[in-house]
Amino acid sequence: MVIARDFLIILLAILLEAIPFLLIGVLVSAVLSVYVSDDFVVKLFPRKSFVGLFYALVMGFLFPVCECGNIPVARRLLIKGVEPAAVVTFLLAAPVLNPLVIIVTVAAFPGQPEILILRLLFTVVISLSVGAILFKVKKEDIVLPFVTAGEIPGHHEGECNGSALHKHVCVGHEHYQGLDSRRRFMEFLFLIRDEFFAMLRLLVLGSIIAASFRTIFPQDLVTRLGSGQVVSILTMMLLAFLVSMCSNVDAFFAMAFAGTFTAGSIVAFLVFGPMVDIKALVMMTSAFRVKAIIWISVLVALMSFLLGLLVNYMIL
Amino acid sequence: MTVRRETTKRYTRMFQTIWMICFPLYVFDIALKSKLSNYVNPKYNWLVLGGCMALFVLGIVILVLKRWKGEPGGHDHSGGAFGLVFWTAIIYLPLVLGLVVGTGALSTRGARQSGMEVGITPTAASRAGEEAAGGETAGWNFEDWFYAVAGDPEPENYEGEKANIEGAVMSVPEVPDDCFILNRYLILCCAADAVPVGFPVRVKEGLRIPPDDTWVRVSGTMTADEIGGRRMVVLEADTVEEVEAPDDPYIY
Repeated sequence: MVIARDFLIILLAILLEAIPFLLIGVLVSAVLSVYVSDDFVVKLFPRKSFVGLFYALVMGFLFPVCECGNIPVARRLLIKGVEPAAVVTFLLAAPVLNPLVIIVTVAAFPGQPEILILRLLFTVVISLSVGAILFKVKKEDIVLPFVTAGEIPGHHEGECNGSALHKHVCVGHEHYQGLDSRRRFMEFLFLIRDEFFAMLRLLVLGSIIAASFRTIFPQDLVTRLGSGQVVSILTMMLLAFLVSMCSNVDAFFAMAFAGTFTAGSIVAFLVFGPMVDIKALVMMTSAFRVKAIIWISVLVALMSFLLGLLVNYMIL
Repeated sequence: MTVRRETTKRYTRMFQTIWMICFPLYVFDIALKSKLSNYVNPKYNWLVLGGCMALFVLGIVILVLKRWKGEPGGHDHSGGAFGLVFWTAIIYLPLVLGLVVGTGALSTRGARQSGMEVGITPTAASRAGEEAAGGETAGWNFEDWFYAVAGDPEPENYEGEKANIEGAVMSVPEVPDDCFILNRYLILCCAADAVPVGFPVRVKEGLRIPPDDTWVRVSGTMTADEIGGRRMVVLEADTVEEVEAPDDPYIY
């Protein structure tokens, strides 16, 4: 009973802190999907210039949604002719470099500004580095053929086709064009619910894992895992990949490990998770070649790991 | 779309809408019992309750709209019958578990098992954000003592000072048989980041040490002593009195 209660307390604690932010994120995402056209972002983006990488960094402030909401924008950017390198930079950076994630990271780590600073700094370093590397790669080797042809396959005028891929990709503004205001508002409310639960279930699953680490797993083992300079980073990166938690609330998950895991592993989790996880990779296959996705993932993983080590040995 | 898939989608959405109403009600119940501080730092209560209120209102509005106007196509994330059962079980787990085990503060079990150093550890001390209280030490609570020792860890500076503090009993192998740790958790954001903070307490001969997790008020005198190879502040107890667990069991 004691274990069950401790488990519940930690599980609920994470949920209670995270749910308001999850709701705000979903609300913003729904407003952008239903009422705002993505085209204004696309128009802002330089098409062929290296400067596009730097534009990509700040785009998250215009689209303060997590990785799920960014994929449709990324697809549209690619189809409109924006350099894939800049779009990848946008995909990697935007889930972290946005106001909501900054607020959540501050809330989860009060009095520890270094966690936020390192999260932002390392996200910039990794996303710019990957973008710069991809700038030298042919477009055809990065994106799927339909993207270079400038069309969205299977896109509809009416209803979603319900495929696993399509349901994640089809959240664009045009889906709601042509609806009267009453119907559009209803779509807006139901979209909030659907997207909220798509994120919530991962949040609860992640919180169950975090609570298990704190209560059910042998604590001496967790302490040993968490105190190892290298093992702790690998453990947290693996958790980030598997849990696939929304970047709007992942700081609350990381917080549960802050007492026992090294600072470098916490930072690596906060940087790596929003860029590469199961959910994001599946969604990226809607626009990018698998080979490119693997290379991007490996690059991000290596850099996150090395920067985590840097934190453990030299910074904190 | 098959009829079966349509049915799964309908049930998924029904359970989701019910959750949107039940979860906030569960949280409101905890808040009305003044037990929200068992989970989150009270400074975030407004955020938690505001979020739950928004969720509750949204749930009600969707329920009403659905009944009156029907539901548009939207986006299906159910993942079939297995997905319906699995994900519904996942999101309802906190509610079901809450009804079974009830509310309470974190036990000392995690701190006991973690093999962490006893006393005011560097991790805990680094989180102390406030100055120690002034005035007579006999009037200081656990929090005041924590901030004082975290700010000035020299044990000799507290020798002879009177103390009268509450916490939970925690037994650890590092302390002698006539000692226990008077424990509380320090939390910054919520119970998930809890770090144990404890003062070793030495009881007089013949004085019984209550079982782990019993909340006690200890009155006595601070001394400097070596415990587990470290010199630290140790409370020599004159009395150990069992008390009710407080509404705010942690240091925030």
